[in-house]
Amino acid sequence: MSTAQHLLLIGGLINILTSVLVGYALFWTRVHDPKRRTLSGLVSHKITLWNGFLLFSLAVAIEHTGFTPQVNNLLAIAEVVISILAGVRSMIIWARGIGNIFRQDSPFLMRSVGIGHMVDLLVVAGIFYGVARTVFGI
Amino acid sequence: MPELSNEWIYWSLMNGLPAVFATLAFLLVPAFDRWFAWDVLDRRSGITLGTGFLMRAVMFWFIINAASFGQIRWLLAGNTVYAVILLGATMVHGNLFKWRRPIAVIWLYLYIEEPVWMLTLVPEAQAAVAASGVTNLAGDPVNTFLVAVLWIEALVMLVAGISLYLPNRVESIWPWKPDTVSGIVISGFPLMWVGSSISLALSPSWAEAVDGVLVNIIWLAAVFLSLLIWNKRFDLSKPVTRVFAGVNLALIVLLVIGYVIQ
Repeated sequence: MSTAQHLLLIGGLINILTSVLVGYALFWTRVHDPKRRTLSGLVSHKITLWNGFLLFSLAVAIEHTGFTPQVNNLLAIAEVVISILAGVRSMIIWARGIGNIFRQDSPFLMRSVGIGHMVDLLVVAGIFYGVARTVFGI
Repeated sequence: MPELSNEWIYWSLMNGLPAVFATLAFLLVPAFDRWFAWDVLDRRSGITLGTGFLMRAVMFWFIINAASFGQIRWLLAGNTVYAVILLGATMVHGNLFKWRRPIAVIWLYLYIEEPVWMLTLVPEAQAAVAASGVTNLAGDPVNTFLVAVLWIEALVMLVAGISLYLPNRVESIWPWKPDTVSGIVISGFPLMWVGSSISLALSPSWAEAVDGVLVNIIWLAAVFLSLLIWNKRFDLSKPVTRVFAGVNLALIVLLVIGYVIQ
């Protein structure tokens, strides 16, 4: 396996492990207080779970980009870091009891979601571009 | 040094032709401000975007005519900064974009495509250079005066670019206060030149820097001319506008002196 694959697999497992832990905390919170609002906890659980799946799938695709190892490593690091930050942000939101960041939180925290989307878009578009070049023999 | 692949020309045409269109539209058609990817709320922002896209068009023209990677190496850092700022503005302030206008979708496509295409263009060019064994273009080094001017320019551009992110300070540096998206996109031009000026200052030879210095002079001259042509709109009687124009003119003069000395 390449370094980029290692990074994506480890990053994916960190996300999945976080998702499992958040799922346990969510279960415990609901048992402790069934009336408590847990929407942001569920969001946190889903974000980390899906980011884990995303990183696993990118670990498969990134081997076919045809990019240099340095470029692949850069893309992998960017995606792993941004996925972990997204998970951390969602857990902060849950811990602070915020139901809807777009209505209730600071403009910075709200707009930081866009920065995460930018990195996601660049990395996924980059991998798509590389794999497409490989598929079409360019 | 090996010749650049034709893919650089395709990349330049893909991104340079829209820059030519945006230059003409922003400078010649005031109504275009409200037809663009977002509503450009101040005509002065539209004019400044026009001069910025003119610089981009000239930059792509130089890439099309470049014979080797050494001639365009100066733009890599600056162009990456520029693309990230513009895509960042689009993603962070997407709610201010007019997504029903096709030009907004074309804008998003261009600022994903431009940096992503560089993921193969740059490493391939670097690998070809490394394989050739000739890593730099031969020639005289950039003169010390010009190197100093480029470092000063990098500092000036950093202050100018960052000021656009400080809503309470922007009017002490810029002659007007742009709307949110226009301000961030306009900041992309000076912040791009922070990276490009430093790259030019560190160029191993004049042959690698000459195109960048020319693009730099053309851009600053275009901004200065726009202040003169639309002087009533920019209100040259305001002290902040005069300082803005003065710094701009000083940089042009210093760069031209450095160019002549070389």
